[in-house]
Amino acid sequence: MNVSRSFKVAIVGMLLLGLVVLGPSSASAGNMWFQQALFLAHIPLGGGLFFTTNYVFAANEGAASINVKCFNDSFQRIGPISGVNIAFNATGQVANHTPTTLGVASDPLFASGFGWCWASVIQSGLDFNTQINVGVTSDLTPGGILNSSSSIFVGVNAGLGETSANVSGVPFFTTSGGAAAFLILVNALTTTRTLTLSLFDANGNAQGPPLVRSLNGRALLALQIPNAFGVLTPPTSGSVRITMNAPNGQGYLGYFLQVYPNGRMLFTALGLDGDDTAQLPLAGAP
Amino acid sequence: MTRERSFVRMATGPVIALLGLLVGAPAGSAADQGIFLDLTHALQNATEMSTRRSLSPTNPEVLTRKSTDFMLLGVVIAGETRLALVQLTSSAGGPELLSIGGSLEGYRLIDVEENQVTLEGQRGERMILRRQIGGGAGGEIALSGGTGRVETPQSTGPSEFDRPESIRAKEDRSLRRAERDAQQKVRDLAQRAASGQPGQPPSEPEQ
Repeated sequence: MNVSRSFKVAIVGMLLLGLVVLGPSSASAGNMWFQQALFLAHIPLGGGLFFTTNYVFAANEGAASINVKCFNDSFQRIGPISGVNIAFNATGQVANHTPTTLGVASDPLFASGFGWCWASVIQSGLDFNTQINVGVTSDLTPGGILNSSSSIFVGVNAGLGETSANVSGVPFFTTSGGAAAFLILVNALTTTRTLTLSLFDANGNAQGPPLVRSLNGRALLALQIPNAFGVLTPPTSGSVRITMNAPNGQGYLGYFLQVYPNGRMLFTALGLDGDDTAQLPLAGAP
Repeated sequence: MTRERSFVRMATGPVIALLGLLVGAPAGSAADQGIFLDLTHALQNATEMSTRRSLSPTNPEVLTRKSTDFMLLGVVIAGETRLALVQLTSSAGGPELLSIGGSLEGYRLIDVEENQVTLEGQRGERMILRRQIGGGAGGEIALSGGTGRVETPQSTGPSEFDRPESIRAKEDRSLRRAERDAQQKVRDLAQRAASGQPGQPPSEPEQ
């Protein structure tokens, strides 16, 4: 009797589990989306080396045409005013792009530094994937960061298809051994946002007062962590919590860069609270 | 031997990073350390520039009062050509057609987008003028293939983007998905609390 009951419970449990696992569910990070924000960097380091970004676009849903428009960190449009169109003829096709092919490396408004791009499929609404390769390389050809054996400090992440209207965070930073950490915040849309950043040590103790920063529309703000907080004796490791002054709707997104003296680099998207996220809307496309 | 190794370990990372000095190390790692220093300094510079720009008086929000002195009537976007049709609200004269770099009342046009333009003052202060939509004053002049056409002001809302059905459906699905996720989460939490699992709090406070 007990065995039979346990068996039934197990079967029902498995069925429920199957429904949960196999059923349609929204991704917690909906980055395969028809509107995406992409981190952009192009900084000469000397000796022919650049800290730069490569994009790999993949037409994973169908043969789309992706339009890419970029901005510098002063919310100015850079590159061709109409953007660069990347046409795909088949599902699964990929295309590599660099700041040069996107026409931003030669733009006087973006000699070097940080920026971001809005990649958009407007006509068909087909979703696509973007792989962002970041690293130090002397090979500026498309795909050069990953193809060149001399590339160093290489990190990879995805284009971001959603924003947070409230909570997000950097799970972990460290300055141990001379490592350096940088937070990249992007307001991909046009409404100015006010963000509050709180610094914690690895034990969860708040460090100093929160940092309040205004983020203009289409703006990018980079902060060195934990230096930006101005704490007299900052923790050598910890986390950062970010909140915004709006309970719902669209907000901000971001990336986090952590470079280590041993040639390693972390390049990760900010963790956005799933309660506060919204997919980037077509209406927000520049 | 161990003492030497620990001394090198202590000296390299922090000292290099803090003082920007290259100390003795094997050839390969010395090169990496040099690149690390260059990279760190470059990232710090880019970060400082970004922070300075965000804190400078170029914040357009600070200057929104001033922006009422100007009215953006339309924009021209044709290839690399970017023009803005701007009216001085206090002037009885007609609107001015400005190209990038052109000035009006001491403000220089520095950026033109489909729905907004940016003007920069003589001290670097900036203001964003948004195109008047739906109020009868706005309009976009879009040139295509050398032939100009003037688009009349369009109504507010998403329809201004003339979205295909597939995209509207996608956005509707996205909204429904978000609502469904939130409802499911509430149901799950309520179910969990109702089941009264011993030793477990019904719910955790939001951070």
